[in-house]
Amino acid sequence: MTAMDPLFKGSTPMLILSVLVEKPMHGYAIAKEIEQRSADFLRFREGTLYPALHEMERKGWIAGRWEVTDGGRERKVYAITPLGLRELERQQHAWRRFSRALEAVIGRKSSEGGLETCTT
Amino acid sequence: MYNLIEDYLDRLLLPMVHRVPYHERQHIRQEIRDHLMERTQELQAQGASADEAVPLAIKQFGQAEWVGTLLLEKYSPLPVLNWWRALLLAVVVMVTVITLAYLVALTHTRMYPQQDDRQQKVVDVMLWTVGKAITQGDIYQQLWGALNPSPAPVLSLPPGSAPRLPADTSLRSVHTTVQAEYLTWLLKAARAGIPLEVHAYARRVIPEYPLPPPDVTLSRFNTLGDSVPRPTPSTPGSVPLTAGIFLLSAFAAGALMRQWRWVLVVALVALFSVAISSGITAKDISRRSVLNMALSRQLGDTIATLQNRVQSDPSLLKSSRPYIDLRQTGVSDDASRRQRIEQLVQLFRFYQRDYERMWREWQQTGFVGQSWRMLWLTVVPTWWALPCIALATVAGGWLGILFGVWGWRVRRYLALRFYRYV
Repeated sequence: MTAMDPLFKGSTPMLILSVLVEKPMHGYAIAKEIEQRSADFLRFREGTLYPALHEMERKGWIAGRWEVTDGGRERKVYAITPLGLRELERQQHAWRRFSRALEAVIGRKSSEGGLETCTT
Repeated sequence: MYNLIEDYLDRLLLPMVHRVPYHERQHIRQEIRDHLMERTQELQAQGASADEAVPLAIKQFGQAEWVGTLLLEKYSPLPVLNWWRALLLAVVVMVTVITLAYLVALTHTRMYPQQDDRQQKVVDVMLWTVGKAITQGDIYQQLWGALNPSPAPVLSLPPGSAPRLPADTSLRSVHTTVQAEYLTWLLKAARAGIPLEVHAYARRVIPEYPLPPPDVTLSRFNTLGDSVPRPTPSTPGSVPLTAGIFLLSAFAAGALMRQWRWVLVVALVALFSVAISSGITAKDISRRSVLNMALSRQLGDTIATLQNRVQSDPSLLKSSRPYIDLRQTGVSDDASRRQRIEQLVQLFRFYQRDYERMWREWQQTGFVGQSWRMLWLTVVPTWWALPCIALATVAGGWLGILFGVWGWRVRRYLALRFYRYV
């Protein structure tokens, strides 16, 4: 995951929003869901999750509310907001464009038989 | 083992003490506690013992200080403009500027605007040349009426004006005599018992004179804009104090806002406040110029009265012994004494024209030009003042930002070290 860190960091809000778009979840469940969906490829350094969640909450993309679990513990559950939905769409669109552009570059290199020497 | 979690949470929340409200800290504590307990249970379900699971869950969560810092940055990011912060900043800046301006004014109390006593000296010399006749009859009443209740006891010059013109060549020797011998004559006149109330200038320098001292020190509160300190024309020695105003303002801005653009804004506000103060002073000086002109004309009337009296009464000089010995300056008889009186009148009129010219130039400059001249005199008394002020602003801003950004981190580091050893 080290090599992917910058990409992962930049896309953390999008990942969180993508998970929350299906149902409200608490922090631990969000981390687990992302790990599970990515087949353990995207694993949070757990301490970074909560700063990200709180920042998104301050921006109004998600809303947190306290619930009491069956075991009697209080737990904060986050749900995506309409503003978060719009932000998710925007970020997904941007990511797909970026991804297509990247693929176009990488795909051409691959089809031409790997990296070529720069001749400029 | 759960004490480990609480201990971890204590360390994680420590940077947020006094920075994040208590109830929010409790929410963060509860949320992360819940996370760690759930992770611990999961690790135990995977086969780890309780002794292994809690430290591992904590380790996976991340170093307490690091997570705490990340969270704090989300709760107290670089400040954005809001009304209370802008208000606080404005108050800090204004208090700094006004306080330091007062300090500058008090430590540099000086007579201002620059005084001019040429005309008054000539009037006195005229009085002493005419002699004792001035204390007799209606002329005394006229002189007393002209000189005593003057609303502006001191003539002053416009700030930053060009030097006064030297007297005409024909009057140069009289000018030199009057200026050089005045104090000597004053002492002699005082000994001769001349009544002080008919002095134009001497009454200002002799402390026994009953009128209050002239109000010409603009570094104190004045009649207009009592709450605004009056700038005084600076000297190179006051540049460090001026630079200090900008340094402290920039420091306050940097520490509070932690952004360079706010340092610049505050520096401009400081400059603007000095500019306003300069404008008010300029206005006050213009108002005072009316009084100065009136006094100058009043003195002219006094001179004219004396001149007329001498011309209309040829025997006056014979019966009136001069208060001062004029022989040293070439006045040997009544004819030359009469000629000296004419010379003094001409000299006075020359001074008066020159004086009024300078005030007319000041008035023609206009309010903006006058304010600019005052600002320049206050802030930039020498060529190196501007670089000095710019440097002070940059240094103050830099130190303020450093203090604002890093100060709490240093304190947190020290607190953590202390905390560990308790």
